[in-house]
Amino acid sequence: MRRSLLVLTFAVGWVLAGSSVASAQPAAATWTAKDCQVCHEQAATGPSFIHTKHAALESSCATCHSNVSEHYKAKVDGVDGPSPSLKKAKASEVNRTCLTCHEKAKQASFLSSMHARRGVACISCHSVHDSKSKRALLKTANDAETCYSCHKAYRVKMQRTSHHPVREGKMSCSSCHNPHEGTTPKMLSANSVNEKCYQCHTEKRGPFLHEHAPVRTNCVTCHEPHGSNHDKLLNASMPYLCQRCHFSGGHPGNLYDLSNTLKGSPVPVPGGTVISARSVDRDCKNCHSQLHGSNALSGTVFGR
Amino acid sequence: MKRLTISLVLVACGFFTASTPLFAQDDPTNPASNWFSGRASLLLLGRDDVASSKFEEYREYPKGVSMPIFDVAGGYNGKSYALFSEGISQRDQRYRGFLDMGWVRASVDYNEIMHNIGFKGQTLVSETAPGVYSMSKTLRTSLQNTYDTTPSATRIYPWLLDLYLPTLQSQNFVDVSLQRNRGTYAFDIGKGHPVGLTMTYIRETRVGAKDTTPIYVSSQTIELPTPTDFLTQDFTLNGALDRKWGNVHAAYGYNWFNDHLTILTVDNPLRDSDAPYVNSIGGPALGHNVLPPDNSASTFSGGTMLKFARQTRLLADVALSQWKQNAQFQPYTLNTAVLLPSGAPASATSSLPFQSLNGQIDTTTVNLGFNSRPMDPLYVSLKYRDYDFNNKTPRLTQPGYVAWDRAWTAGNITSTPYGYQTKRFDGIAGYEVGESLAIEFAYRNVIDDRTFREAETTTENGVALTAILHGSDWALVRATYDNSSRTAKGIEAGVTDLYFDQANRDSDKAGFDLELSPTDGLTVVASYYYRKDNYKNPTFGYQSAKYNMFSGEVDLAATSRASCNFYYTYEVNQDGHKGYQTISSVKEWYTSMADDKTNSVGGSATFHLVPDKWTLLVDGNYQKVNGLMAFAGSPAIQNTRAGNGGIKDIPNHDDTTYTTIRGEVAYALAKSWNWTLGAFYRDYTYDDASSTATLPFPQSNYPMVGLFTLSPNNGSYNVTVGYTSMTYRF
Repeated sequence: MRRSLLVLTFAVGWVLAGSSVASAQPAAATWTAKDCQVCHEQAATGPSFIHTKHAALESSCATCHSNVSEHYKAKVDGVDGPSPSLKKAKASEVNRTCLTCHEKAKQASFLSSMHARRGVACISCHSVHDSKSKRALLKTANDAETCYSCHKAYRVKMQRTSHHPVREGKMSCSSCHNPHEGTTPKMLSANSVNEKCYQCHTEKRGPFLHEHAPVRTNCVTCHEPHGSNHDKLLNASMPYLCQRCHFSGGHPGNLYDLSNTLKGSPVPVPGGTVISARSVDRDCKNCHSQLHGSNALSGTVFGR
Repeated sequence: MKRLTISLVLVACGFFTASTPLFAQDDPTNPASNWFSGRASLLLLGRDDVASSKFEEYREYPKGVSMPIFDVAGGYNGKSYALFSEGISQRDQRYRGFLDMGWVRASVDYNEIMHNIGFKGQTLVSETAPGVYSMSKTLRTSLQNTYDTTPSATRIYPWLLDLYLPTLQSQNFVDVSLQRNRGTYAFDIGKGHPVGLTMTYIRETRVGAKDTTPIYVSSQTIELPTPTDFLTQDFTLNGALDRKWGNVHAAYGYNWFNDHLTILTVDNPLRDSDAPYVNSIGGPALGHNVLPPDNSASTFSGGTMLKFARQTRLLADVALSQWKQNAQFQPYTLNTAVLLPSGAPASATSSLPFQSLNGQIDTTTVNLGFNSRPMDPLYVSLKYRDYDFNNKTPRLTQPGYVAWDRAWTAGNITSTPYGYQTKRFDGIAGYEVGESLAIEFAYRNVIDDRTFREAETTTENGVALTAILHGSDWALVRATYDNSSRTAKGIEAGVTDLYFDQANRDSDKAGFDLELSPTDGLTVVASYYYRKDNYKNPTFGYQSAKYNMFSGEVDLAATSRASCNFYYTYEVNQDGHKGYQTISSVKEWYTSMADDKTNSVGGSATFHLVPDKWTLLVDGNYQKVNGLMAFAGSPAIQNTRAGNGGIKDIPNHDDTTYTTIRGEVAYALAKSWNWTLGAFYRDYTYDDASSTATLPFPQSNYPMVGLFTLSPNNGSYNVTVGYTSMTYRF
């Protein structure tokens, strides 16, 4: 099966490469930024634009903006004319313009992405003429701020005590997501959630002798990568997280209430319960420390 | 080192500054193509000392003089280059740069990330070699003799505390902290051209302690910094052909992980010699934990995207990956007193039935897509995705194991190499009704086949309806509703309660966004999001998950001299669970409900007091998470806690409050010089009933006699920081 897929992929690539047809090139440049900067000086010569590749395009402003000459003529004549601005164009029109050149690499599947279908235009996030970021021509200083403008819940989740270093600027949303992706669920820039996590947490990739089934399947079964008020980005605190599955009799399934914690009952109470090592500090992990998988023969319950 | 680095950068800065006129003279007729600019900043910072690691968890706030920014960028005869530097010589420094020669481009991203997990952890032992934690043998002998000769009924909390007290008073302190340094080096040939080839090499080291590891030794747990000396390397070769008709791409990647340490050991405080564990006496002199084994992964991927008329696209991608792990196994135990039934020592690797796992996992990913606008207002998208996680690791059967380093436990144990395959189909159709309304209907079918799990297959069917109303230039409404249902099949005989990741489940999601821009400079946004999952066929375990979020935001640019934004978000997260305790052979039920309510407020305002001269910036964030764990239980369970007044809720359940307020004044001294004066105050409080504050915590209910927590400080703090900086642009 795998070999067949490999061969098929090569074959498709070979056929397509061989059948490449020289396509028509854009018309020679007849319009330069100087014609436009009479009125649009900041857009045409601003510091965040002038040194970009867009500024050096052969057809200049007319590469992206339509009806440029008609617009210029109308303005000179003092009459209403067509507006070349993309700001008021439909998202699909804007995207069509940008994808003329950018429909490749990470943007190759953008047309089928959630963003494209939700009416998000390229210029919703990017600004060709007035970008604020060091890369990717974003409208904000970093991509997280751009994402938060729509994804409100993640802005506040990222402020939780347990978080990836996004608000510190050491990671970004695009460390895990490709906002142009149209093939993977959640726009992940990996083949699976776990494969994405292993890019930084390589030591958890394994395989291990003793595997923990939900860990092997999906990291987000237990973790909330966008931020949590529980330690280690956990969806819930231990032991309650573990009890979602380990509800059987004995110590995994027992009720651990306030009396079992440090603030509930600091000393034994006659006839009552006492502090439990299973509900303080690392809780279940006080003993079962290798929950991501153990490579020890004596690690059958993830204790080694 | 730090001073030297800053000095070197200052010299470099001066050199670049001095060289600016030379660059400008190269081609005075074409300043746009030949250019050079840069920015350098010096910062003077003063702040309170903070005992908690949380303040500088990932970023450094260095006292005194530092250089937070040094950037240069330029272009010359069609070639361009840039270097962006942050936090020079700090533990969180980062350098990004590129040299673009047209057809050839080289780039680098070197990023150092500190992970301060906790400061001044308290420990009875000290690290005498990487991964080796030791304690005085004389002391251990003394504690062993006292412990072994005391009746077990006497060995309860006060007695244990007295026994350990002198030792605790001479405890050591250790910081739990990791340094992650990652360099990404890429070399492109033909970037931006029809044929491109990219080679990328990533090298990442992680050194220090990435976490804490509790080791169960005899009847006590000793928590230690996890010794970490990791090296991860990744090499990827990526090629692409981009033409008018679409593209073809292929890549090969190899990723390998090396752990320079294999085992973590700690002296048993209560023993100086190995002995079998009998009647709560004995155990190993040396406890251990196995550290992550080396592993590797290689991946080949390839695919194509074909373009046709009417935005019709065909996409096909495949990725084949193979993961391997074959590190030498550690022995069953380090306790030399434990013997196998054959008489062989359990502490020898030669006694193991196999020496390594020879583990292998093959993953195959197939993505197929079809996207089209057959007529302009209508679009359709069809996607099929298959992810096969084929765990080919051999099933190994071992004749027994050594539980908690105590004694040999006989009985065959066979390892379980879990695997799964996910097949997903999405069918989406959208229609644009005129210029203002777009509606979309989506259907999805997700089939998960699992190996060695309680349910062989789960099938989820979901539908989603979305409407986008763009009534005018100033109003936008997005609304979406999603409903899905998952059912399990092939349930193992005898299984009545499925784990929640396989259980039958009904899910609802709804989202609503309203964006209004009634006037230039004013935007009002209101958002609502709702999600609910009900797990239907576990009688016990995870029962339900519910999340509600409301957010409101206002952006206002009142005048050219003042702008501000403000947001408020309210979240409620509720997780329901049902468990049981067996009392007098009867399953007595109880329920728990985690109920977290979160209020978040934030905003910023910028005032251009004197245009192009004085600017005032004020911003702040506040977030309070109020956690509650509520319980209810049967009368029998209530009775077991009569001495505590019955079952009690946990009101302080990972409660956190985080507040930051900042003010900054900037003054443009001249065209190239900017001066900034600012200060911020931050307050962080953390309150949790389960977090230990002291060491040790000997549990009084036998047989667990000790829980030696590190309790490193990563808790509440408040800090005031003042700073001034000077920035020069050239």
